[in-house]
Amino acid sequence: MGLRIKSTSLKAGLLATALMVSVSGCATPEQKESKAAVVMYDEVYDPLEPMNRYFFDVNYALDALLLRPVAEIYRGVLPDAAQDSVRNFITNLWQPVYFINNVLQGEMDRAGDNMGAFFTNTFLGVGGLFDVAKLDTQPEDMGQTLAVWGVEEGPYLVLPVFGPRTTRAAGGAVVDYFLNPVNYVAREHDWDYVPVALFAADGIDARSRSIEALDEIERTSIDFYAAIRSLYRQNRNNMILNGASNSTQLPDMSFEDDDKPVQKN
Amino acid sequence: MMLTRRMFSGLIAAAALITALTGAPALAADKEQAALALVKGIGEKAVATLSDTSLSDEQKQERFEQFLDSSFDMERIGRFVLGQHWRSASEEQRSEFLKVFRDYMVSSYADKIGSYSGENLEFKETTSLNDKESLVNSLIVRPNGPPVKLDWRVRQGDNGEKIVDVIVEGISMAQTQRSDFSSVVNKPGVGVEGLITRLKEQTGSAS
Repeated sequence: MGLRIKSTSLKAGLLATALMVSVSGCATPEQKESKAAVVMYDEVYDPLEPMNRYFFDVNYALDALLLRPVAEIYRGVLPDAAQDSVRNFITNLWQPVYFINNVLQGEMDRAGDNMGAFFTNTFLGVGGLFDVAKLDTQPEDMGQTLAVWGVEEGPYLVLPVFGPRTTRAAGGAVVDYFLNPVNYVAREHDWDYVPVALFAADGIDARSRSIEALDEIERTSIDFYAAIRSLYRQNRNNMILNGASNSTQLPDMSFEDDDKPVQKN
Repeated sequence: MMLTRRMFSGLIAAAALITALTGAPALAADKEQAALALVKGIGEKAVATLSDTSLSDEQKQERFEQFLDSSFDMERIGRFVLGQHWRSASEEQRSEFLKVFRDYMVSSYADKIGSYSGENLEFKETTSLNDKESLVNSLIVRPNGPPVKLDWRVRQGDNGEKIVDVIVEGISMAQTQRSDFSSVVNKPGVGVEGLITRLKEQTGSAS
């Protein structure tokens, strides 16, 4: 019985992934006249912009009504140490997924850190509430793994509740959900609330840590949607490169009249 | 005679080889050294200004504007940020845009000045991007919280080294602004003129 539920949800997940991939496959850039316009089109790549803007507004309203107030209370009421424990606990539960993705990306040292952090923090850090290992592991998801494997990022998406994603990251997230042992255990025991509670805690904690940063982006940007789109993409690229020197990612700032473009080194 | 001639050409070849091997890298290293020197100077002055309690916020703001005008290639940044629309903009629009863009940059950073709490800059390596540009890597070391990676893109020009972009944790400010602005310009009925109006509103309300 449990097995059957699992296999249907797995099918749904695979179907969703296939759908994402096909969406990214069929959208082709239009003919553009100038080089600068082509660069911008590739950089933005948002063929579903009207729909995305709609969900961006929906999410903005949900944030203003629900997430932000809760995050403010969370930050105001919980001591810093408790907030850190929430973050540590969630990170620890995701370590197995980070581990698998690091292995799939061929990052064996990082995978070793994930393993070390998971066992150290689970047993010595009271189930992951304390970061004893201090290995500073970074999130590794299937979207990043697919990027390393050469899959194109696909159109930009804004999903209701989940927020900005590239199509690649959205497809990857579905796979990560099934890779996470926590979700597997929860499904086996019909604890439907566990993934939801973890998602909510993760969201509230992350939001509480970005209140000032997001306020500032909103205040200084002219088009908040476009600024977030650019920031999200650049941050994803930075995560994919594991923060390595990004000189190849930098835009060309020379103009045709003065010199050679940026070298790919 | 033959021998000396051969020796002579050999000497020239050797000299050329030495120049090729040592001269060019030395020149490139000069470029990076100059970039590092510029950014170090700015970083030290900025930290000194921000941590100087005898200065009022207005005085700090004034100094900050001086840094911006003297060390940033605002014309290049402005032109980059306008992207494809620079070409179609008229001469008046261009100069007007550059003016409001500068004010917008100033006002965007204005209220960060008051929130300084003991951050310091630590310089890492400097790499060459192309024949004119270098990337200076630095870290903002914070008294509370993890360090933040801050890279400075420096370019050689007619007036010496100038900063053309700052990259925070892999996020380029210029690229973000270009995306932001171009989305506004592309909206029907807005255009470059509309962007200038929006920027003016923004600086008017923020300062």
